[in-house]
Amino acid sequence: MRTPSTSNLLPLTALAIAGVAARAQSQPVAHLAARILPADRAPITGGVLVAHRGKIVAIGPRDTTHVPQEATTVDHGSHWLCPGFVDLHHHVGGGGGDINDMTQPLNAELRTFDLVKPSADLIRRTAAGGVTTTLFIPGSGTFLSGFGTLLKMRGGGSLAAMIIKELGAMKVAQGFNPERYSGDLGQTRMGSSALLIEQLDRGRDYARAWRDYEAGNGPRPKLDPALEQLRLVFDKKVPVLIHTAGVRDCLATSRMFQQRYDVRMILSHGSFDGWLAAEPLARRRTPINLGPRMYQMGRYGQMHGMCKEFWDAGCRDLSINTDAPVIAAEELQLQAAMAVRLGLPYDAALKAITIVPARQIGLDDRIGSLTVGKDADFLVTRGDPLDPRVPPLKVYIEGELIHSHGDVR
Amino acid sequence: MRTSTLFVLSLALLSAIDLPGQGRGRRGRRSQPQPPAAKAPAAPAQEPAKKEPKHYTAIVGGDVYIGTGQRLTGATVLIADDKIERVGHNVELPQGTKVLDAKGRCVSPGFVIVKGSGMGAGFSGPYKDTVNPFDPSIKQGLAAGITSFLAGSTTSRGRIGGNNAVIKLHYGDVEGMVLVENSVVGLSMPLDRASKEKLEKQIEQCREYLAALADYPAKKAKDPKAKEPKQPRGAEKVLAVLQGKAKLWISTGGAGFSPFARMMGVSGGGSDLAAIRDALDVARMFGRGVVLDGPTSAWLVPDEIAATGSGVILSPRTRVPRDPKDPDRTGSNLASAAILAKAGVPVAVTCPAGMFGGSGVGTNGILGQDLNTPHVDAAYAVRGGLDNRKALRTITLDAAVAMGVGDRIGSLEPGKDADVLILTGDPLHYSTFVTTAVVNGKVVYEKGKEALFRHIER
Repeated sequence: MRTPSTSNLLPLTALAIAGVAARAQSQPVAHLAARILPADRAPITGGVLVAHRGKIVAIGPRDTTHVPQEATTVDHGSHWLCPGFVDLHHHVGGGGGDINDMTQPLNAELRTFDLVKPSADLIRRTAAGGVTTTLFIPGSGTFLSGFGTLLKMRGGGSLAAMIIKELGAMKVAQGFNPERYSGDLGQTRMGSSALLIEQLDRGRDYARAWRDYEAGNGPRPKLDPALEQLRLVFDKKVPVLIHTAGVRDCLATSRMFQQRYDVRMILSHGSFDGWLAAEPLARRRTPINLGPRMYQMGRYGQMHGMCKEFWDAGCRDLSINTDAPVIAAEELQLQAAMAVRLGLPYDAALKAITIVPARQIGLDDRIGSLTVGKDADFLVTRGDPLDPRVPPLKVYIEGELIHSHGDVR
Repeated sequence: MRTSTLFVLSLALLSAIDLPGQGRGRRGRRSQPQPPAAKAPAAPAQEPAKKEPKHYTAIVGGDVYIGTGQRLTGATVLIADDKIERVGHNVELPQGTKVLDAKGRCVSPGFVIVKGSGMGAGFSGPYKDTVNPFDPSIKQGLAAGITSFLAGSTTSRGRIGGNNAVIKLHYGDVEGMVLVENSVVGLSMPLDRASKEKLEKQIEQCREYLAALADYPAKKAKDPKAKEPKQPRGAEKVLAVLQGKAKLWISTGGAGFSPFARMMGVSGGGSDLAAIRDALDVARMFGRGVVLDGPTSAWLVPDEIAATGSGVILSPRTRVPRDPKDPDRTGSNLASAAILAKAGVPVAVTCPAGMFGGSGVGTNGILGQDLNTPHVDAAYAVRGGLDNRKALRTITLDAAVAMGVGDRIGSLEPGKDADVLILTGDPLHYSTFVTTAVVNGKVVYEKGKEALFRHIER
């Protein structure tokens, strides 16, 4: 089972998802490269990465790293290795479209798992851009639009080969899209907050009742299928990713999800003048997932790089997204490059599309850096992997070559 | 002013650049009598007619990208008034030369953008009357490295049309903002049969007219009563293309996807090959190369395009999905620019036609998708396999050639307009900034003096 915790809890999700160990390599492979950017520590010059059965079993400088005798060698010459990129705000795992069910304002029972289409062209394109893991989330058409799926961008095959977690995160949208102008409640932030709080309170109480029951402190609650998924958020098994923007809404998001509910959360977008909230958010260590907007024109004509402003204010838990298809899924690297252009330190930008999003979504034990024990998800490039001129020549997921430059036009 | 205009005209006459016409608008041609060709001097420094001493500016010590594909390390660009005077090593600086230090910097021609809007341009001609030299977005354009762009329309259904101008980002001065009007005319595919027949007829009439015009002086000498041939009515634009005074851009429809459909990955269709071939038919009708505007499938037929002497405008980042029924011959290709350049087709790069892209220096926050970073679009041509220095041509010289002004702008060659950038590094590197922009010999942007990027260290 690749998704132990979440799917076990779901009575409706008794889908047996086969592991992909069968396709993993039986022999270790040593990848030699002139430079390795592990993302969580200093670059390695003249390095080797050994992949076996989908995992990294050794990594380091060639002269001090033990390579198993039976290993076959792939020499990447003067090229570089870096971790596969991670995009936590991605909408095209279903091939595009179909991500907003907008009849009701709150949809905690929905999930994008039902949309994933392994054959979609856009999945291959995403991988071509070096993005190996995505959180495929529903749109921002409603206040609570459902649960996103965590996927490996291994298209063209089975669904099982792609799924990391059926329920990767819950998607909430607070303003700048979900407003309901059709006459029902929720036209303003007042209405949206009231609706969300009503639903989230129910979820919190439901989760608490189950926890109490399981601890032997209460009666067995009545099963409510509509709240089963929401329960995972309050059991802190699944984070909430909140579409929010502007200084007022960014602070409201932190207030609601960090203070009122204290759940695992990721503040996504943070656009417009959201960076004005950077200092209080830095104090609360709010996980921030920035993009697709990268700058705001200030009142006095300065082009403020949003990432730089958050970074300078002390927000270190900072990742970058594409909001694909808003920015093309394969251009996550460009988003990071543009953040560097506007003043984000290079290391922070590389981390913002690798180890930081992995940690924010709770997968840093598996992906996000080139570290022993993690999945062998990595790219081979001619140089700086953030440079738009430098395409990934090869993309590996769990040690398996899934893309070579030119495969996708 | 007048002497310099005369000089420009005469220089153009002398120049060996392959573009015969400069696409001066009708207006300009009427009011300007032809200058006597004999008056043209070889080097600007020796022009005797000039009384005012020249103002010299030199950009010294930078790594100079000429724009033709060449690079000179630690060279000098000497500017006399509004023109490039010399580029090279050991350039002697005349007394009183204003020196701009570019040591450790790169120097490049100003970027030339084939499709733009805003940045001081009006919405329709006559552009001279509608430009705003104090539009703040001009500074934003200059910060992006843009010194010239084509504003206005270049598409026209059924007949050759369009209304546009090459605008220079000559901040603060109306004079020098409009390089030329209608140096580009446009035609959109598909062309229905009636329209095509009409166009063929017009071309024939114009050819007859041009032949009669060429014979006219001899006729007149024999018979003083001989009447001057009459220009065919309503065929000015056709005539301009035939005479090489305007570049014909043919929009192929880009495989018929709306930007929204393209963004959402709609499949099916995915080919505009038929439109490309129709456009090349039109090129053959004129006997001249055209410019294919935004073709998706050009990468499939680079040699057919090269054979007509045509060029291409594209965005390497505009993605068109393949048709599952014919996947190998449909859809876009990241390598398009490289494939076309290899076949000898000049390529001008524009920003992506995505849902959130735009032809202006946007302020809506999505960097890398609009005209705020034209060098990034050229960088994507490199991603697709184009050589780094050749890729700079896609936003300099080859873009200028596509706009019919390759003899005026787009490279740092003597006699051309002094539109020069000093950059913090490789022009196509994502974190390179413009530190100084010079247009028509005048410093119009300095990073350290403008609010836009002053706060970003580089």
